[in-house]
Amino acid sequence: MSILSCENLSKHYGTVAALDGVNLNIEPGRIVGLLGPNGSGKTTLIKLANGLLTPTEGRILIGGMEPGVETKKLVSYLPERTYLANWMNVKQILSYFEDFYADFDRERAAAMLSHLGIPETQRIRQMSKGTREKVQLILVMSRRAKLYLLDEPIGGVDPAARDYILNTIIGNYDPQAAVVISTHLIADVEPLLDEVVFIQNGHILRHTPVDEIREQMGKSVDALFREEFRCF
Amino acid sequence: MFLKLVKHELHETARMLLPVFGGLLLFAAMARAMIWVMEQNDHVVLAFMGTLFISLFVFACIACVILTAILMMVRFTKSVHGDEGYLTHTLPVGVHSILLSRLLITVLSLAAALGVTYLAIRLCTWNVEAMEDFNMIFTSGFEYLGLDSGFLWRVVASVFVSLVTTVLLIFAAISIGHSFNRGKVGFSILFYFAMNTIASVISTLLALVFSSSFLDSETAELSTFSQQSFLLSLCINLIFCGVYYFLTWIMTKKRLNLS
Repeated sequence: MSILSCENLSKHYGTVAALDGVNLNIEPGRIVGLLGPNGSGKTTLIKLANGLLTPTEGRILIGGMEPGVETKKLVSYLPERTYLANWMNVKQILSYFEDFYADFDRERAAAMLSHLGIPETQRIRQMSKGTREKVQLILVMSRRAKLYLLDEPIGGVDPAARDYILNTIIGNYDPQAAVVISTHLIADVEPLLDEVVFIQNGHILRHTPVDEIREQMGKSVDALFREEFRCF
Repeated sequence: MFLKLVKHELHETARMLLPVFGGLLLFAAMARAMIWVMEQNDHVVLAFMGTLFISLFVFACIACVILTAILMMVRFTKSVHGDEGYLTHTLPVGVHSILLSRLLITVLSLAAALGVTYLAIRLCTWNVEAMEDFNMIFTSGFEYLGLDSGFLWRVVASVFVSLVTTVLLIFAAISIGHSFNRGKVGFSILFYFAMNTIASVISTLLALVFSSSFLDSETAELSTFSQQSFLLSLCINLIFCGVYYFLTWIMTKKRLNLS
């Protein structure tokens, strides 16, 4: 059974269609790149999967269920914004996650934080933007979730931090789980991906295994993306 | 999960409000000391400073309740409709649990602010002769009007239900206001005043209908009027509570608009 399934999914903001009749299935054990230019509908799709938005038409299923309390136990979500309260310190945040998520592995999180030299007494407000994003990613990847939804995980950080983030993703996800990474920094994430979904103006243009792009088309994902989304 | 939400909300609220409450009680103790100094000395400068200090204390009492209300509204906005909402709404808890935990802690915080303000006033006026006379006049007046302890409980219940209604009205206004893409705070304030005005008009109309029908009846008595008007006000507030809660829930569930 697909861990993420969209059936004729549409989301309209007034008269603007952010997603229009999307059909998509993501299988467990796959790392999928959700790729598209700004405003293509990537974040809307991820928000719908998290139950932060309600579909206008169609439906979205997580492990066969519509988004709700039960699906939130399966999904580990990294939004593009920092959602941690500034006054909290790392220890309080770890306790918060441990309290609410049964699949949160505190020891794993503590080990990653220690590796980065982030003390548990440090408050969020004392951290740089990059450090906050790393802490947030560590929290998200320390869950034993069935589906990881990562919205622009490397969008606002320097290249060295990008490497750390990508290594954290690849080193910590459960091979039985699926990972969806939304980004437009394709060259950086390309080595991780099993499949890519190209999305534009709320439509899925392509859902293809990365091997097929490389072997049959003889191109990199980055090159194909630039070709298909070329601005004239 | 609801209790976990309450625990974390209580922790966050205590962090914000305990310094405010502690500061007010400290202010009250200082005001009482100033009154004592004024009682012991008859100097005009001390009298002026004492009066100024006590005026500031009265202002601080009012500010404590208002500040608590503002902090709780900001807390609701940030944690439910702001960036923190990304975490709040992806926790494995239902929308009802999120809203009810916020409602419970907000009402408790406002009740605590009123309680602390009362304590501060008692502390400031402790052993002050003029206040003892005032208490006596108040108690005598209560007895003279023939008001029993049941009346007092009805007043407490009315205040509590009104508090819940007001909090839910503000929650609903914030939730509707934040469904807009721009001017979220402005729309929240606009909807607060609009809904408050509609509620006031409806309440006034119902009160007029009730009063006229009561006065027309042949067996009109003050105690019956007091009891029935209390019940009417309670019913109206409970209906408004239901409406405001539904609006907050539906806007949060179906029209959540995180940035």
